This record gives sequence, structure tokens and C-alpha cells, in this order.
Amino acid sequence: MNVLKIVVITGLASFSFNSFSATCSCAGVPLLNSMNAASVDQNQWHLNLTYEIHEMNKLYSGSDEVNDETNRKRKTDSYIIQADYGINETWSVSAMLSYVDHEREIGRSSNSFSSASGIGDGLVLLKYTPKQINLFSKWEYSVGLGVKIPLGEDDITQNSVTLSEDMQPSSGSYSTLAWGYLGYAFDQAGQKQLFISSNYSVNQENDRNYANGNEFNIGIGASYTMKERWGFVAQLRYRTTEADERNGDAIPNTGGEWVDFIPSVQYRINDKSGVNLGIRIPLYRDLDGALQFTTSSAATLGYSYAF
Amino acid sequence: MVIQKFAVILSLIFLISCGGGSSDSNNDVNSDPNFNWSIDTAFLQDGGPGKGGIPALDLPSFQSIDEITYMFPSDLIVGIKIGDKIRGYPHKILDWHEVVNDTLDDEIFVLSYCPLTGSAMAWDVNADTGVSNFGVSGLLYNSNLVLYDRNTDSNWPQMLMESAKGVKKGTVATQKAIFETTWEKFQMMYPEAQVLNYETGFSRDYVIYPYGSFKTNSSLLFNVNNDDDSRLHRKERVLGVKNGSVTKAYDISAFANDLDVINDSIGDKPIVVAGSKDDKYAVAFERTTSDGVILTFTAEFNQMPIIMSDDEGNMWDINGTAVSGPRTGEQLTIPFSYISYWFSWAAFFPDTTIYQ
Repeated sequence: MNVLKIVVITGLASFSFNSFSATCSCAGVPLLNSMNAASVDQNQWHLNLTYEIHEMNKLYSGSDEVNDETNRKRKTDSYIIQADYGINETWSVSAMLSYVDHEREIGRSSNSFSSASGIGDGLVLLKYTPKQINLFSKWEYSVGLGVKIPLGEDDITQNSVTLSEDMQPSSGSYSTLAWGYLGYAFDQAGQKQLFISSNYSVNQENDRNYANGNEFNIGIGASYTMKERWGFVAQLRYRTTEADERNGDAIPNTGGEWVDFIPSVQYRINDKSGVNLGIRIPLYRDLDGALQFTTSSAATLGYSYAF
Repeated sequence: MVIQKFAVILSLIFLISCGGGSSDSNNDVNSDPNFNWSIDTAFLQDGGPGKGGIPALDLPSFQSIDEITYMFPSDLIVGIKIGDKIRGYPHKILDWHEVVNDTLDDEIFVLSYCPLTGSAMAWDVNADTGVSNFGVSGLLYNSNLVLYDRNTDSNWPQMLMESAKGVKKGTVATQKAIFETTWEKFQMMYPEAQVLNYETGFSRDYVIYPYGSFKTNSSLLFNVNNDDDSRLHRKERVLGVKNGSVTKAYDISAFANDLDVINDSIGDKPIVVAGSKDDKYAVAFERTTSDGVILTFTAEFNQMPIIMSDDEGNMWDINGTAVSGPRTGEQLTIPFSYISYWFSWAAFFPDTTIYQ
């Protein structure tokens, strides 16, 4: 396995976009986190395990932060397993599955803790990569089409009360996904690269007539791979979502725009595996409606293995 | 072969994930019957903010009318009169807090307002309810606010005025008379009133209505019972009145512009309903007095807060208090009644009739 590919794959695995959102438009699981990754070579397998911790404790009105006197704590831990297979030189397929643990607590209220966990959504994506970065090409481009599949529960109850959509492990709905990637290497070895990655998802209603807002992401980033074991990726990502809907009507206080800076560092364990650690630094948000909770901090830890 | 290998890996992934934990889904059928809901849980939902995520006001602050600068003439306000004191609670503050724990003239009460159902109600806080502050549970029943009392954590669906879960389950709260009208009319009627102000202790922009176009469009944010009852627009404000199993809705937009007074009955109970389309209010009182006399009322125009007189020569104000005549100081009893959006009244009481 190419050392650079391990670094690029693990590095770009950090923070793609949320697979669903509800209530605060940010409470989803970064299910497509590997879709930014470079292609997989013919007949090769690539496994990626990712853990993300995502805290959503910032309260915003538009682009202004608002003090939250209720001391609300909202956290999602997600575990994602992804498998990629290179069908041939240009086609590959990816599949992934998530396990999600949501927690919510209101600091100023007693007995306010709620939690739900379970299998979340799954995803299958077919990718076409007519050009890859190698000794003969400084460019790589790739496109993909896929579907997000609701594998887990979306109607978990506590005390006989159905939890809100953002607390459910699964969105309960299918989504159609489009994905694209463009990369450029500044040197023949591909140590320094620039890339642009984007994706768009169209989300359907679940059986409670709730649909997460359609979502678009685009990120521009750079990666630098040292000759030995370390690599670095920095990405600037813009994300926008439409309002969530119920019965086709927009839900107030959902949707908006986010700009995040996402630095990550990778360490190559050997030619087949590597780990990465990344954080998401919010730079700007402009959220729809009067008030929304959104990301206060997020970090990922990933492990990649190719064979 | 490749497909088989792919399937095996996916299966492995699935099994690993399954082994990682399980959902905490449960129907929570507790052995203590008080901890099972007395309402249809199919329409009981977590609204999202969480318990206390919408902060109730425990130390409300008030200003005199001439100090209030943030109200527009057509803004709605909830008024309550206890003794000779009047307080007003603007919808635009209640939209953000939903529950106000208050005391007026030594009477402790909770003023609640659900912005998703447009319903305002005041309850006595007494030995029945438990002397407790109330809060916003974050739960919704038929899209309506579910309160909780902080003493026992019992849940109280607002539009039922009855605890549906907890040690207070089955306890019915005692409703206090309130009225809702425009800021313009409220100012005119009660210039001496104290009005809830922005000094709530919470960082909220009270100028902004937090639910977009919800109060005028036809959308619902949560699934409710009987959601296809199209006899009226979903967000039409109605005064709902209930007596036993008999319910009736009075469409406020169908009242005369200035004032209508309707001598009616609901089931076996004679009631009077007064309302105004322009001033956006409607109130209901029982016509039977404490000494068993059934009064008949007539509209009194341009004398607000006086809105009606009776066949004994008494004049009655919008609070149901006799302000002149032989029954001066007497208070009419209020039936179970409040203003709400049509869809929510129809969700709670699908068999309701509409006054024509």
C-alpha cells in the first residue's frame, strides 16, 4: 500500500458531513466521513474505523452567539465502520455503518438526562475515478452516487415518550447522495496536495413524516506528507442545510450555514495501516430562525487498514 | 467471489456494531400505575429542547404600562385580575418561556402559554397541585405544552389541566379567570396594570417570534390527533368550552367587530360567551350564580372593561366580576375554557361542535 495513500485516506476521513440533522441542524453523525478519501486500487480493500465526539452546546441566533442560561449539554458519540473495495482501475464501492450514542441534559433542571443509542444509518456509494494521482498524473478526480439507508431505530421511546428526531440513532429515512473529489499533487511523489471535495444529499421523510433538510458541503484543503510516518491535512469546509420538514412544511430554527477549519494529523503505523486525529474548529455560522444550538467542539480519532 | 467477500465484511461490520451496545428503547411500563401515562402516548413526543430547556420564569419582573416600549397595538397579551391588581403577560415573552410562576395579592398561580397551540391558562397553585413551581417538561402532547411540577415531577398536559403521570396523576388543577386581548385594548382598559418585562434573566430576543410563520400558516410541527379536521383553518383562534363530555368551539373571527354576547348552554350548563373580532378576545362564564339564579346577559358597548349587563341590572367586566348593580363584587364561575388554535382544540376534543 502506498504510504501517501494511507496518509491521504486517513487524513481526509475526518469530518466530512453529517448524515442527518434535526432540531439544531447539527446533531447528526458524520456518516460520510470517508467519502473525501482517495480511491481504492483495483482488488484492494480498505477498512476505516472512526470515532467522533461531538458536543453541541453553543447557542446561536443567526450568526451571533447567545448565552445559554439553561446550561444545556448535548453530546453525540459515533462509531463508524467503512469498507471500500476497488472493483477495477476506475470503479470502487464503499459501504459504511454507524453506531450512535446521543446524550442530552439541561443543567438547570433536575432529572433531565436523556440518552439513546443504537445502530444508526448505513450508506453505500459507488465511485468512479477516471484519473488518479500517480507517477504519470498530478490530477485526480472522482465522482460518486449513493444511498443512505436507515438501518437503526428512529422511534426510541423513554418513559413511553418518543424521543425527538435529533436524539434518535437513525434518521429513519433514505437519502440520495452525490459526491465529488478533485485533487492536485504539486510534486511527482504526491507529498503536497490540494483538494476540493463536495457532496450533496437529498433526504426523504421518515415514517413520522420528518425529513432532514437537504445538505451541501464543499471543502478545500491541503495535505502534506512527510517521507517517514507523519502527515498533515488542513481543510476549510462550508456546509449549508435547508430547513428540516414535517409533512413538507419547514421546521423553524433548523438549517443554516457553517464554515469550519478542520486540521488533522496522521501517523502511519506501517504500509497497511495508519491512525489520524482531527478536530473541528468552527469559524462562522449563520443559523436560520431565532435560536439554534450548534457545535461547540468536535474531534475524531480514526484507524485505517488496507489489504 | 468479490461480492461474497464484500458481503462477509459488511456482515462482520454489522455484527461488531450490534455488539457495541443496544438502544435504550423501552416502553417503561412501571409497576406503579402513577408512572404510566393516562393519555394516548401515540401523540406524546419529546419536543427537542429537553426538560427545562425552555426556561420557565420563576422571578418575573414587571413594569408599569407607560414604561413598556416593545409592544405594538395588535400584539396579544394575557391579562389576569386578582383582587384589584392587574397583570399582563405579553405573548412575545411567553413564546420563549411558556410558564410563569407568579404570586399576586398573595395568590400563587402558574400562568402557562403554549406557542404551538396558542393556549394560555392560569392555574391555582394549592394543596391539590402541591405548592410548587412549575416548569416546561420539554414534552408535547398533541403539540401542546406539558408542564411538570418541581415538587413531585408529575406531568401536566396544559390543555387537559390535569396531571397525566406521576404522584399527582389524576389531579385536576383549578383554572383561574384570564383574558387575552390586544395590547391596545389592554392599555385602554387597565392603564394601572403591571406588565411582564424583558428583564427575565435570559438572553432572548423577544422582538423575534421564534416559530417563523407558524401562527398563521397551516403547518404542524408535530403530529397530532384528528389532524384532518378542516372545519376551520388550523390556526384560527377559538374559545373552547367543555362541560363533561360536551365541547364547543367559538370562532373568534366570527364574532362581531366590536362585541358579541351569546347566551348559550353547553350540555346542561347555561353559559355566556362574549367576544370581539377586532379586540381578539373571547371569554366564557357560567350563567348560574352562586344563589342558583340563571342570568341572561346583554352586550354593553364602549365601556371596557365592562362588556355586559344582565336582567337584574348588574354590569359585568371582562373578568366576570360584577362592577355595579345588586351583585357588585360577585364573581361568575368560569367553565373549563380557554383560547387555542383550532387544530389543537380539535385534536384534544375531536367530537367538538362549532358554535354557528
